[in-house]
Amino acid sequence: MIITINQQKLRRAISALEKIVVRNLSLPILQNIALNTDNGRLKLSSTNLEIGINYWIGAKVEEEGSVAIPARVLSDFVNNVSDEKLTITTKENNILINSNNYKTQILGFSVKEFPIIPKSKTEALISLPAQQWRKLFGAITDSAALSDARPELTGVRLGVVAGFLEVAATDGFRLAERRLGGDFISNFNGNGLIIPRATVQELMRILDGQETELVAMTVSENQIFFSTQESELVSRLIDGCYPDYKKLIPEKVVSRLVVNRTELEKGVRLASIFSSGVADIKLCIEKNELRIAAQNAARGEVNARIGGELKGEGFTSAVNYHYLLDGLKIIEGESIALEFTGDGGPLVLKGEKHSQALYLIMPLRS
Amino acid sequence: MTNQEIWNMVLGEMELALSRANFTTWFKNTSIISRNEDCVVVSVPNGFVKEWLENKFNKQIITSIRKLLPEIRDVRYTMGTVASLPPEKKDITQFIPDRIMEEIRSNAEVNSITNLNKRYTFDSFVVGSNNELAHAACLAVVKNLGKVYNPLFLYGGVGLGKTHLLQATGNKVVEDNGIRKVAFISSERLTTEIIESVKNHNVEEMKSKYRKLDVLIIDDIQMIAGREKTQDIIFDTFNELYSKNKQIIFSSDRPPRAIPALEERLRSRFEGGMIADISAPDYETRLAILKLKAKEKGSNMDEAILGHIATTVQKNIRELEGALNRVIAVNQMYNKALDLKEVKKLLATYLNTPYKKTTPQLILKSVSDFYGIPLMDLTKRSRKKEIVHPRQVAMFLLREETKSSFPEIGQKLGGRDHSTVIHAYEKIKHAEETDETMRQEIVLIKERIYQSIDH
Repeated sequence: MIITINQQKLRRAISALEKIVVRNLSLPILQNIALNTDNGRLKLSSTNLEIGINYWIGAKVEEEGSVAIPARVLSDFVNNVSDEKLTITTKENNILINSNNYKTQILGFSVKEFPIIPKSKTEALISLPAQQWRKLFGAITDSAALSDARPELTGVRLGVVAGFLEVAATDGFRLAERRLGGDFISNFNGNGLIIPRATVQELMRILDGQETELVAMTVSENQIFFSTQESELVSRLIDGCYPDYKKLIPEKVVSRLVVNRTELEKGVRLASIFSSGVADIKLCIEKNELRIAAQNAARGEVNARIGGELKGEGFTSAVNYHYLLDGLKIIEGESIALEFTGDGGPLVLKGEKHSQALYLIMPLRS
Repeated sequence: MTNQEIWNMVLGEMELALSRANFTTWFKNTSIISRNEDCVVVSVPNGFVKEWLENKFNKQIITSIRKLLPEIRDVRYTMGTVASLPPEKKDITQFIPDRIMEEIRSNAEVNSITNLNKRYTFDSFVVGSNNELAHAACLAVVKNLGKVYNPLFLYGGVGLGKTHLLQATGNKVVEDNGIRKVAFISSERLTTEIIESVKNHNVEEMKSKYRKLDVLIIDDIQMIAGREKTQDIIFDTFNELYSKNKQIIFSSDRPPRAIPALEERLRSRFEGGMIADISAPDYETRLAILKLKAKEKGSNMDEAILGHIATTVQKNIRELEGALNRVIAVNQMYNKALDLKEVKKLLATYLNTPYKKTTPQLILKSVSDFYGIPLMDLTKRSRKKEIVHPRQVAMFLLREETKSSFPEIGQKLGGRDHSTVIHAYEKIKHAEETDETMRQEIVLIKERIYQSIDH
């Protein structure tokens, strides 16, 4: 293989690929990134056997070939090279990377041992511009469960509800839900998919900075594919039934307070300094005013007051401040509506005007 | 020939041809799900395995299968169609609140004024012959505060329920007598408080806080050994409360007379009331405890399994509970009840964690350090009194702590005869039982040994 490529492009490709490369002692080949020439482009691949990524970048190909390079070495090297053009030449399993100022030889492996990354063979279900996907999935993985006790909760559910494309994630303590309207869902029948959180995070990483490029989603045989012109991400889906989270969203609202997002966030962050071991802060709402209080036996206490607009009676609720801050990342708009649904019931966060997203927190009992 | 047998044969051949890692990566969770005259369908767990088997091992797999079924022409691979699970029985609305409650419980159960944890009650305390006396004494104290057994001194080994009894007594006092001034404190924390108050020049304030109490409970009182200021303050507080007939309860891991570096005036006061010991529980008690704990945790465990846990863990109730928790956790994780065999395996790995062992070298070094003589002198032939005594103590400790044989001990200490060692052992043993200073010495040397193991 003899190719010449742009360092910036290579760097971008590697940063998209390297996060899923994990230390794997039983199959050391997985710690590599595979390089293949492919129709006048260079194809880079990495996988951990749960997620696989192919990434294509333009290159001047003088001689076809393939090789696997240890991901860490390649990434550290490319990040520190300052020359713009790199020439990659392989001799057996040795990789020579040369540029104006550097001459490097990296020990690689034969690509024969490298797993084959499955390709999508069916038609795309949904095609959306990258920015739409980013908007849909943004910050949603925060709410998915970390513990493996219930595998289905570790993923993000994607489904179609009433003509909207809808994502949801919950760990049992809070629930995030966001929807997207449009006429793109003709092919997608309603059965929900559960996408592993790592897959969604990886997708966000690949799509970072991209705006209008189309990203197609394909599902076949328990696998999900996200493809763009220059990359393809494949992952397994999580088996299992996602709980019926709609039941959790209360229909009745007792009172509703509208506050400014920035002030609320500031108040919560301030109170968080004095929260106790379970990260609890107290929200007391009375007469168009929100008081955020927290006290810690070892540190002290704080009271922050924020003006707002209240409909209904005042209320008091104790919540985990991490959940509240995560929620603010889900909800759009400058005005945030806090809805109280009765004692012991969840607290619901919505945008005052935008109804595309919803976030629900179970209160702490005291 | 069944599909399973065919596939096992293929696996057998592939296993020989491949490295272990390769084999497990690509052939785990594969099986033949169907076959007709000329085609076999193999189920694989994911897309990566499918691609790999199709592209790399297809030829080998066909060859292996055709050895048994020559008519087969084709092998197809399909991704495991995992039968979709039945809908979740417990819906999410039920699931959320009880998780939340668990989270907050740890915080809410400890009363911030009395330091008592509501979780500890007499109802959840299993009474057996090992702790009958202590239990009865505590109940008597609850009924007659400050009148019958004052002070009450409980002692017993690690993890046998001292703290549970103390806390339960405190809780019961609060419950039966309304809001009384009760305080539960560990001596460690008391020391910290005292240091803090000395620093802030408000010792009197702190003292008066304790003087106003109706019931004072101090856990792990042996920790005040060697801390003179703490002993001073406890002495003052004790006198004050005692003279007003207020109840005082202590716990310790050893009887008062065995606590080293404790002032005589305090020791005699500790011994002045009622001393009750808690020893290791017998089999029946252990089983009863396990049953109670299993019920508390809402787990129906087979009696045979509980019996096995009770037989394997003998010395410590906390470890007993730990072993039970482990079994319950594994049950929940795999969502099935383990059978006795699996439990045995599980606990074997759990109990065999290496423990730190005292070595003869360590004992000899601790002894020579304690008496301030060179280590070499222990093994020399000298019969000076200041050497002979430490040597005998060393022999005694070697026998007690390492269970070495008498001839072996003689060998270690300069090739002495085993009868010499037996004599020394008996002599020190007798002295330990009858002579208070001797007992002290032994305890202090043992402390040195244990401390150096820990580090």
